Amino acid sequence: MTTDLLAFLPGLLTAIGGLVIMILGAFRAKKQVVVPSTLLFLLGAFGVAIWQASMPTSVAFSDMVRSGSFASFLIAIIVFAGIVTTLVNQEVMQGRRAHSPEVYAMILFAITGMITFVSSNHLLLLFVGLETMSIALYVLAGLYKNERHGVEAGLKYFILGAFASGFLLYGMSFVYGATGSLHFQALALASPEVTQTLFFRAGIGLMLVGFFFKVSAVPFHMWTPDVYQGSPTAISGFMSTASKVAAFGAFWVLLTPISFSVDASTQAGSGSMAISALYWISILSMVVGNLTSIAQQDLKRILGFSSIGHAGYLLMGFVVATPQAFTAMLFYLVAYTLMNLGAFAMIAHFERTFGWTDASMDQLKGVGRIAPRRVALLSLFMLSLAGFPPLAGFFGKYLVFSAAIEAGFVTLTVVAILSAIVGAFVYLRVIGQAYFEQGESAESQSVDPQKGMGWGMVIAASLLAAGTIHFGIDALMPWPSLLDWVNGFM
Amino acid sequence: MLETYLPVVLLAAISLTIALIFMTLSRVMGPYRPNKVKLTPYESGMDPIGEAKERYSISYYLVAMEFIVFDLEVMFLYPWVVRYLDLGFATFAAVIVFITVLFLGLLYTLKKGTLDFGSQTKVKPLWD
Amino acid sequence: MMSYIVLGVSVALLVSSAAIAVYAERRIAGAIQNRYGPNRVGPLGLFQPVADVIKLILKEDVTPSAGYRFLHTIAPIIPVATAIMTVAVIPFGDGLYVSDMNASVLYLLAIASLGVYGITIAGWASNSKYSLLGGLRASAQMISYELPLGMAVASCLLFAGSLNILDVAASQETWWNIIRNPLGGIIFIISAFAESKRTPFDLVEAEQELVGGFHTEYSSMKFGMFFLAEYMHVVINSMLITTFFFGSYHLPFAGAWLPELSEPLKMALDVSVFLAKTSFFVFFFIWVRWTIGRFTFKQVMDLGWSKLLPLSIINFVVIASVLYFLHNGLS
Repeated sequence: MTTDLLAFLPGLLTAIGGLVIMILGAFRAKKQVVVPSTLLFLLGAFGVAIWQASMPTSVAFSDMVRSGSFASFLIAIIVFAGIVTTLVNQEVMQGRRAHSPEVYAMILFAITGMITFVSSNHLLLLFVGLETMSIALYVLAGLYKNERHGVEAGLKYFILGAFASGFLLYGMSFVYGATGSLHFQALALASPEVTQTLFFRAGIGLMLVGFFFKVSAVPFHMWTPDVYQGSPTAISGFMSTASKVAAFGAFWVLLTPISFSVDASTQAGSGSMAISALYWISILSMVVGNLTSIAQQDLKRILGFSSIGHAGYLLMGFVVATPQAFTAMLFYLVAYTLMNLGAFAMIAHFERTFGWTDASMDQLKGVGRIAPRRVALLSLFMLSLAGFPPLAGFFGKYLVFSAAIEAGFVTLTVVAILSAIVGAFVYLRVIGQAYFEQGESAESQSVDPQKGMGWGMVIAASLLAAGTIHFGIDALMPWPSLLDWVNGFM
Repeated sequence: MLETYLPVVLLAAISLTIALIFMTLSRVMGPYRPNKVKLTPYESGMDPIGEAKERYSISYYLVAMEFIVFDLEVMFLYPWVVRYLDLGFATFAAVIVFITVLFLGLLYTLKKGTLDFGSQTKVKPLWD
Repeated sequence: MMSYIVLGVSVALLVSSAAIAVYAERRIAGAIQNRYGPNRVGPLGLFQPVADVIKLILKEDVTPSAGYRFLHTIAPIIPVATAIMTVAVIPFGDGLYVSDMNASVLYLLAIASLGVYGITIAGWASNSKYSLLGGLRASAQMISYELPLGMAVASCLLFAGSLNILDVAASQETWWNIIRNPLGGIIFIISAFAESKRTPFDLVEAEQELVGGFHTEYSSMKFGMFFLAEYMHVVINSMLITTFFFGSYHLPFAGAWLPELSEPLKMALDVSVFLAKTSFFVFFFIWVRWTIGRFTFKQVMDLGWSKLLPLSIINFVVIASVLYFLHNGLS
């Protein structure tokens, strides 16, 4: 039992943390108690994840939980996103009615769900993790329940999310019917006779629908901009990064062995079917996500569409499915988490500092003159999202594209590069708006000196900015880089 | 099987028969002279105002939700209770953890006043 | 064969005991309030319940025009049916039972929780505001008190290690559960009062506030059935209190001193002990009704959710831990 619990220690820590925060909240604890305790539990989970990253892969809880370097790596990213979100949120949500201990309890519960999700080795546990994560995120998305967009976000995310979970569960039941097992290994080792059956294919297809919804890939992306717009901004950043890291990590473990094994044995297996579906959905996501973001006027919606596009780049890793692609995808996940969290954090900060009622582009006019350094930070994250060297976003894209070219997916790569150029235009437009546009209200926008960056924001922003710069040049440094580490997982 | 459940079915039949006999008796032997006033719902002698199916307090829904959670808890405990002495410490600990988590949930809802039918005060925001 | 004899006898007993309980209630109420009570119909007023039933049958059966006729009609059947079906698993003596199913506790709880449908449907189908309020309150109260009731029963099962009521009864041969598990017993009795909607939990059918609550719009024998069912539930709940906590058909510490008896003698003793205890608890129900005032709805909910439920959970955990560590040691 002890080994079981040790294998799942990060999840245990966050779960206990969530319960503790919840009870603290019931007893009307002060913010000065709740936020540090949240951070304490998250830091503990982060430390354990880093410690476990050097351990070999092993299974626990009668083969249902898989621990080891790969899972720990994903857990570390997720928990890091949680830490940054907590730091940012406790500052930008100050004075809001919705700001309560439950927000932090829900963040911890969501992280527990994500940890369960990525360390599951069994479809049932996968579903339990997914639901724990989703339910906590539904609550978080609808926090601003007295605002129009807040209600829209909460309700849309909840109804569509429940629908997608239904697809996933239905697919699992089909797969179970075809193979008679819910263990990942059993699915990976299923014989071609089994994987050729319509049952199995339909099951995999339905599960893919649930997966595409969670990572907001086209055509299951419609909720993304609305939800990101209506949720509290720091929470939008959390949803767009941590939940996607969890979904990509868990489904990589689940799907890749299936597509590998089937492709090796028969050219017309369900694997190749899944691959072709992934191929087209990847292209669609990149094109639709980046093209649609041109027309957007709201910063949070732009980031929503950009996250659809980034989901497309990440899905390329699934299509290519070589060890290089795997490494590239993991690196891209790290880079994406850093820069996207950073962008959302800066927008959240501006919203609070300048008292924006919404995050439209017009609000950004002239802000570059009032707060040049903070806009420079935002620009850093935007440039990284656009893929400018020498930032993390550039290196991530470079790795993914080169892996695709090596595996012979030239068309896919060309489409990806073209859509990346379109995307770059949008990000640059945001920067231009901030620096070069003369805002009508720029002079009247009073800057309260009290509302500079607080300690939480300073720590979060410097961590994210340092990470964004560091991982861009990481591989060129003489010391062991993230890539070397990630390569060791395969 | 039959020996166990036939008496139960028989009991159900008997109870239904008794109930039906009573109700038919009153239908047959009692008078039946309906009129409009007699058929209106009773509202302390006044003409009824509006429909009876009005909206009612959300607390009833909350009670129903809490009931489902804790009724399931009780139902999960029953099978464990039968064999708990022989199942080993891991199972014992698991059940205790399960009960504790639900107990904390109960504590939370009680502290938050979810099941408070009396007070009409709005919940104030916690932090400013 | 035995079980069919028991079946016949117990159903007859239950239906007639409801009538007896009505009579007893009115006589005891009279005694407590220092007046006579019914004493005109027959010797000592013994035929009063019969006269009541005849009167109810001869009354007009009214269904409110705006109500749902079908639901309105089936609602009174449900409480009667659930009351009668409960006796299937109650042991009246050693080997005296209707059905020996292996999960009879689950059956019991399942049937008991069906009772709430009758009340809710009655409240809803009448299309009257009093009925709706009464029905809502009754359903909220009944489901709330089902939880401590279930936990108290679970704490009893810890001693028996079985889901069969016969084993629960047999496990109390020497030590009654009320001695081993007093808190559970108190919780069970309180919950049983709430489940049968008796004072102090009778606010759901309070005449003064709700004009009778869910049965405001019921008349004639349909009302009579609710009335009958209420007293049947009093009797049934007395039987359950006896079975689960007061040693069922065993005399106090019977295992320690009672010698082997011949079978007919043992049977007679068992049944009379069981019936004596049940009668006492029926009396207890009546006694409480004429002694204690009525709770408000807030008090009822507070008692159920913030006192009894946490207490019953803690009680369960403590007993389970003690028994587990006594049995397995502290390893």
